Amino acid sequence: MKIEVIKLVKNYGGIKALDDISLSIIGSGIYGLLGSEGAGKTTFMRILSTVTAKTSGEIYIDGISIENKKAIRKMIGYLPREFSFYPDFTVYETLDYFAVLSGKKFLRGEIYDILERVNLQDLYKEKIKTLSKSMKKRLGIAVITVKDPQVIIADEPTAGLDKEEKVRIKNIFFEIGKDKTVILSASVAEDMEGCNTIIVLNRGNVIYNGMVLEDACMKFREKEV
Amino acid sequence: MFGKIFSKELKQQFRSFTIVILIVSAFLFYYTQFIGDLKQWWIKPIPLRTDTEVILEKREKGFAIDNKDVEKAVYESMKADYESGYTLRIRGISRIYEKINNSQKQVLKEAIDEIENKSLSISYNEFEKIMKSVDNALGGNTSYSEKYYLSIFAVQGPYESEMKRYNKILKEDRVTNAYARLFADYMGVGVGFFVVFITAFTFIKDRRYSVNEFIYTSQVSSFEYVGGKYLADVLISFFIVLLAAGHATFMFYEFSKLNGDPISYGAFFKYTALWILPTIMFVSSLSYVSQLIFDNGIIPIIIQFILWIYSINMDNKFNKYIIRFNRIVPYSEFKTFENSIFINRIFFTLLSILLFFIAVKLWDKKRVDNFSR
Repeated sequence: MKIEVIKLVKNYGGIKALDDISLSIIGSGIYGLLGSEGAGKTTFMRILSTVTAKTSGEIYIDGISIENKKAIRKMIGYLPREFSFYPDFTVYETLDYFAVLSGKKFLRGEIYDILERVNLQDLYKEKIKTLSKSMKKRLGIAVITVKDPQVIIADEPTAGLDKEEKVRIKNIFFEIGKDKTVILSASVAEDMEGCNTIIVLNRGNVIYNGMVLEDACMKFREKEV
Repeated sequence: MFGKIFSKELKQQFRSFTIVILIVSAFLFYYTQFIGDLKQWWIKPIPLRTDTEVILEKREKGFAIDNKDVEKAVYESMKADYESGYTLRIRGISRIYEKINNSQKQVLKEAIDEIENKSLSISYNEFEKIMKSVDNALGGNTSYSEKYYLSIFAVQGPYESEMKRYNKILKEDRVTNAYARLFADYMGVGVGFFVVFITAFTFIKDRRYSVNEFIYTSQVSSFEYVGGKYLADVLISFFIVLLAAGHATFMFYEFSKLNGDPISYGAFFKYTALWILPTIMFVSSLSYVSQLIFDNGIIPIIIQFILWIYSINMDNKFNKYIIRFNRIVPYSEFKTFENSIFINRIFFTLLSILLFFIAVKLWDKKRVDNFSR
């Protein structure tokens, strides 16, 4: 799996959200995208996920241009920063629905297996409106993995969760990251722990792209100050 | 995939409050307007056996009929029943003269005597009390039941000409086709506005529940997603009208059984499909397009309300999306309007399909260039 970003630019009116970004992500593992509010993380992830159009530049995922949205949607799973599901659907119905939207047909047992991976197997009959924020996050992960994408893009998946839940969510991603490319974003440096590669964004520019957490944190804090 | 989106949308709609609004409003229109008309003028004329001059004359001149007129008419009716041994009974949407037995005749005699004895001094309350006991003794649902006092006098012209008109409707329309046009008129007015409450929030809900980005990034095609929802929304509304059409057919089946006149069982369903379905499709398509343009569910309701006001008057212009035909006439009299109605329905069906494809395109555009965060 190779993601190639070449001279990516995104403008919102006169504001440059992404400024000529070029980078490569190669192979499976956990890739951390670190940046403070307004750094361009969400814009970058949304462009990769096909829900926001780029202004200019090129993106290729395994050689396929981002313009080929149908093919790209097959390859990526996007977990937005803020999301929920239809409140009156059950956990099982929700997963089943998104499996169908992703062109997959699962047997009942297979749906339970997916729920078990995110530790929601006992809540399959629960309605969405009764779930906690963390449970919804875990269901969100189940929803995006149900189509078996090669790349998972998760925008601040641990934001607003307590320490225990953060660990639980991250462990799920680490498990997925063994054979898939997982891109996680965070605005807190500590949330980058365990990432194989860290990319630090600042005002739409890449200011660090490497494997050393301490260096990434230093760059991040320098700019934050 | 299409089937699943369709079934999930159905499920979601049936769990929502908007479906209750649509069912209640559709049946309110059905009962108050359509059934109301049937019970005001009835279907098959009956021969008058009493002196109804006062009532008929007043009705013709548009004067109010007062309690004394009612008392006089009902009293005359009792005398006629007593003499003939038959009373008028209301069964559903039918009025039938039914034989009464001797003890029932005796009750009538006593009531006639009581009214005659009291003569001018009888109050309306006393009159009502007497009538209630007469109605009960005759088995209920007679013209002595308060709600049916004037049912015997529900005539629009002389019996012979009314019968001639009815026989024409029977011959040309097998009764129900003529009434199905009135049904489609009233139901069209109802669903022509209330359907928008079902369809105005279809995509807004995805955003409100923050589920839209999961859908945008799934593999579902825009046509399948919008189409699945559209089909579900249209069929829900259509199904509700079909329920009313089914009820109307049943009422006329009972009418046919009692009167022995053949009816067309498909008439209400036919006019529902030909006149009302295009209306439902148009309201749904337009509200899809407007909610996707304005990203708001209230604007489609406002737009629909303005169009509804414009379309509900009776001139049946080409550009009005509701068919108005508030008349019960035989096919030969309807025929002159048939072509223009047919063209109107074709036009609005095609326009609805066009708007549907515009909605697919707009949803597809939103999917790839969605600025909401």
